Amino acid sequence: MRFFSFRSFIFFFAFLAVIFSLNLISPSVKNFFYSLSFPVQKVLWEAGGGTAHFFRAISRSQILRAENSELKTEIQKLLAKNSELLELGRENEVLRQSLGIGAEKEYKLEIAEVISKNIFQDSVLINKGSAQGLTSGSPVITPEKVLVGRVLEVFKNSSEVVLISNKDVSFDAKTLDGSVYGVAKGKGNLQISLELVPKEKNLEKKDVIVTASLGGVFPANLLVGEVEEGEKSDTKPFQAVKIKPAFAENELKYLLIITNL
Amino acid sequence: MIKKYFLLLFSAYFLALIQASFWPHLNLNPYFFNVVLIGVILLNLFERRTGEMGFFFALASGFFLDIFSSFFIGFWVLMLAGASFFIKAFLKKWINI
Repeated sequence: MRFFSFRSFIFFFAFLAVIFSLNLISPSVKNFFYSLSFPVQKVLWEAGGGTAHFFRAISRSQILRAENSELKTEIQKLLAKNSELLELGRENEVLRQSLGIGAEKEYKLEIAEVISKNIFQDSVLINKGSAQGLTSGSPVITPEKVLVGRVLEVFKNSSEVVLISNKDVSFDAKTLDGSVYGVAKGKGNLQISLELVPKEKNLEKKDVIVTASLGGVFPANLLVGEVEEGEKSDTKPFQAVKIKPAFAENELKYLLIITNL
Repeated sequence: MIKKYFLLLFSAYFLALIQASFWPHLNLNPYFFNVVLIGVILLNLFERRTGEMGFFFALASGFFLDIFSSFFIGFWVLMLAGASFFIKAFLKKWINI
């Protein structure tokens, strides 16, 4: 059963040898192709977002109307709360000055654009790398201060950012009011669960989850997501809840990398 | 002939770019709705039995897919080369094309 000539087999094995040897210089090879592809990938990423947005809008028009109405009500409540918080902020600043406490640490941020998603894992590629001072492990957030992930691998002009929904990511998290602590673990496919939550603690749907700085993985109080559904069992000492990430993966365009943590 | 190979190489590269930068927005399972894999399957299915362009396309596509994934370089080259070989073997043995 011969499909290919002997010459083709020789070519195939020589090609394989060259391909596998490229793994020795894989960062340089990948960086070369990423730099070459940036302009086209940027256009494709934006086109993809626009296309998905168009089809999503058509299929979700009814749901969007209901969401819109709910959000308008919530905006009113938040505006009222905002004015209270502004006043508290002013009082806080005055107290800090009178007690001689320094200002909160200022983060140094580097802005980058998302140009592609890793096809088989929860990670994205951004267009900044070691040439712009990025290092592995740096937290990554959106301009709205929503936690996205951390820098995994740094190339010269690009970096791979692993999302918090990636199976290899886990970090300390808590509810916004600080009453419940747990460990947020990525489950892959943009899913996160909050685990090791004591069974007696009550978590309601839509409770906001933020980072805790206990483990030192991410800075504290970055928005992670909200509770979707819980899993309580009488036999297990802890409960786990599913969290809906606050970021939308297909709407990621600009990201901020915290470089001075 | 060389022009055809360059065209295939460029097509493989462009399909890999679409898979990495356009396709993720559509939220389709990348193992089933993989543009590159579909291209390899179709080219190998409709090419004549003794043709080698399908196999070349599989190698080129595998290389570019490896560049845009976290696997080591060579993983998708082997997978797609295997798929190409399997399709040709299937057509020869069972369909007798």
